[in-house]
Order: sequence, then C-alpha cells, then structure tokens
Amino acid sequence: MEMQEQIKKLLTNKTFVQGMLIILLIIPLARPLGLPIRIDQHSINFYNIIENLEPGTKILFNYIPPVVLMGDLVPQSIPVIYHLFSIAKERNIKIYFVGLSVADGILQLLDTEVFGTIGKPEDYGLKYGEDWCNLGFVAGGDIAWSTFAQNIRASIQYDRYGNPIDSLPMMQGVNSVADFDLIINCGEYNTMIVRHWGTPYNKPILVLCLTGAVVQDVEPFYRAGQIKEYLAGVRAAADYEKLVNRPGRAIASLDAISISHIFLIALIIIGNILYVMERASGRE
Amino acid sequence: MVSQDPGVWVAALFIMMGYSIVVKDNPFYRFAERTLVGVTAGVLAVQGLENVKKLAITPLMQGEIINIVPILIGLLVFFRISRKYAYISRIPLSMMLGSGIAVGMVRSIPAEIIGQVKGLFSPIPAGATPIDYLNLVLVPLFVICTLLYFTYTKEHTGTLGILTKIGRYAIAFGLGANFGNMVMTRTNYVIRPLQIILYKWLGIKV
Repeated sequence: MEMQEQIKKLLTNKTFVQGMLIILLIIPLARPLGLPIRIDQHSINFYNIIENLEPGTKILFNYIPPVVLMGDLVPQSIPVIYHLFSIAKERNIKIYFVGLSVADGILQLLDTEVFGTIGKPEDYGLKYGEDWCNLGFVAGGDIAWSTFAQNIRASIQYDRYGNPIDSLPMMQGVNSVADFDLIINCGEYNTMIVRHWGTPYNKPILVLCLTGAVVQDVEPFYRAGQIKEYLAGVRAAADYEKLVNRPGRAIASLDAISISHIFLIALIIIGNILYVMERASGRE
Repeated sequence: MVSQDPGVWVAALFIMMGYSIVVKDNPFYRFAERTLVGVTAGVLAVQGLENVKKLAITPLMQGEIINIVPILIGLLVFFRISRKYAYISRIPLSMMLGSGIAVGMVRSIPAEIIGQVKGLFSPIPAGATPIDYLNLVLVPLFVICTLLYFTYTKEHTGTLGILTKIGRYAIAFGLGANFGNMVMTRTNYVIRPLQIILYKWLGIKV
C-alpha cells in the first residue's frame, strides 16, 4: 500500500511528469534514434493531389499559423511549399499567398521560416507577380472572409510589399475565390474556409492543420467531402518530408514525439491500474 | 558551435526562463511571463493601428471619401470613457455583431448543416475498403444515437435507453480521440522551443 501511495504521489507530481517529458524530448532531438516511419495514407493522397496538379492551376494559399502553434503547423508548410515551388515553373502554376487573420507578422513566417529553409521562390525560377505573390493580411472575422471571397479588391488593394495588386500580372482576371482552382489553408479557421470559400464556390480545399484539430475541426468536413485532403501536425510533416525526399526538422522530431507518447501512455496505464486497485480495496 | 546571433540568445534565454516553472515558480519565470504579456500587448496595439492605417486612413487619403463613414462609426467606441454617453459606444459594437452574425449564419447553414448531413449519407467511394463500409454504418448510427442522447423530452429507458447509451459511448470515443490528438499537439508545442535551444542556440547537428 505504501508503494502504491508513493507511485501515486510521483505520478501526480507536476515537476516529475513535466521534467521527465522534457528530458525524453531532448534526448532524441539531440541524438535521433532513427525509428521507422510508416507514411500515412492522408499524406500520400495529399502528395498525389499536388503532384498531379493540372498546368495553369491557380492556388490560393491562406498562410496563418499563429506563433504559439507554429511548432505544429510550420513544419508541414515547409515541404508542401517546397513541393509546390518545385513543380510551379514547369506547369505554370500560380501561387497566391494571403493571410486572413488579424496579424501581419504571421506572413513574415513565410520569409523567415519557409523561404529561410527551402530558399526563395526566385531560386526555383519563379518571378514575383507572375508566378507567385503575397497579398498580405486581411483583418476581421466572417465579414472579412466573405468580402474577400466575393471581391478580392474590396479587401486588398496593395500586396504585402506595397505594390498595387492590379500591377501584378498574375492578378489579371482574378477577382474572387471563384477564380482559383485550389485552396490550401495552413492554420486555424478551417470552419471559416469551408463556410466562406469552399462550399459556396465549390472549390477543393487542402488543409495543413493542428493534430488537435483533426477530430473536431477537420475530419467531419473531410468525411463530407468539403475538405479534399489534410495533413495533421509534425507527424504528417515528417511523412511529407519523406515523400518529397527532403529530410528536415519534422523527421528529426518524430523520435521525440514517439518516445514522449510511450511515456504518456505508460502514465495513463499506471494511473488506471492504481485507480482499479484503489477501488478494489474499497477506497474512493 | 554556440550561436553568435543575439536574437537566438534572447530566444533561448526566454525559453529557459519560461520552462523554469517546471521546477517551481521563480522570478525568472515571472519576468519572462510579464515580458511576454507586455510585448504581446505592444505588438497587438501596433497591429491594430496598422489595420486602421491600411484599411481606413490610406484609402481615405487617396480620395475614397466614403471611408469617413466607417472611421466615424469606429470612433464612437471611445464614448465608452464617458459615463453619460457610454451607450453610444454600443452602436458600432452592435453593427459589428449584427453584420458578423448575419454573414456567418447565411454561410454556415449550407456549409455546416446541409453539407454535413449530405456527407453523412454520401455514396461509397470507388475502391472502398471494409473499414469504409463499416464506417458507413457506424458514423450515421453514432450521429443519430448522440443526437438522441441530447433529447430530454422522453425518459431514456427501453430501446431509447440502449440507443442513448450507444450515443454516450460514441461521445466517449470522440473525446478520447480528441484527447489523444490534443496531447500530441501539446507535445509539439514543446518541441519547437527545444529545437531552437538545441539546433539554433547550441548548434547541435543531427
């Protein structure tokens, strides 16, 4: 009984649990164990959709990973944008980045985290204004999403770098969400994108989402066909890095995730065993 | 090789100060916490002003006189500081709320209700696996049972009791899956700061 009490005390000790978790994360991050990766079917489907894009496809890429969630979202966006850039020139694919959010800083992540890792679009032969553009951010909730969907120029007159959007050749003939062929969302607000962009204009949506958003925010729309495919979290990012054959930060962090999960599963099992033992001995 | 970039040093030190709460509450943690709150408030204030400049002032200066209307309506919010005229500040707020709810509702019915119900009874996709067939039965069953669980007009006994019990288990399965995903998300939150310390600050190569 005394041992049982001691284990219980240890498991409910915040410092012990959090400290162990951090140690178990640090070790594999510093020295990856190289545990095998099984590529998820969602990642394969996502990859195939991008790989088989038709020439001339116009992609609206809503890039809004909040800083606090960037650990889960940015690693996914890096191999996906790399994949898009790799095929964009050859197939004349146009990529329109935008940020339907309150913060301009988010779009800065494109320059720092994404282009800082995979290189600038120009390194892939893409020209600003012709092959890709950054339309900047639009603040506001439902109204901003709805207005942008109906009339882009009513929401945005200048791109992120201060150029009038009408001066960008790739904006000619692009007036609303109806003029795009594919929508990609990296961030939260998956419901908003389905509500204002996907369903009304019948546009396919690909989503890079948080692991925690899958069950409540993405899977219901995916099952209903309102979201075509999704990637979720660092695990999917590692899959994608493998698929585009460009190992990066996500693959390096998978061992840490696996080890930490084993630790958490062990805690849950021990906790439940203790609970059952306590009940058996007639204690509350 | 330890980083020479002062920005990386500041980031690493603040990450360590933040995580020092794991041991116990301490002045370093409190300093990091308060700095974060202050910096966030500052950034949001600047972004708010940028929004006003970008969306209202700049177009006004370029001759779009009509923009004076939303600017004036927005300024009404400041009547909040007067006790006597505070009620005026409710006008812009009610306009924002009203238009937001209206636009949201119009779009959410086809997307989040009709679209979801249609998806519930969608045809079997080509190349469906046995799991897809099983889901085809389980998903509508669980949806109906969960909805029944939240009906309060009849006592949950007999057949209804069995169905609502299935609904309760369906909710439990959903919450369990959600909890598992949330744990993974939270773990991922920690990985990014640790990567900054290990790879950017300490220069560890993997």
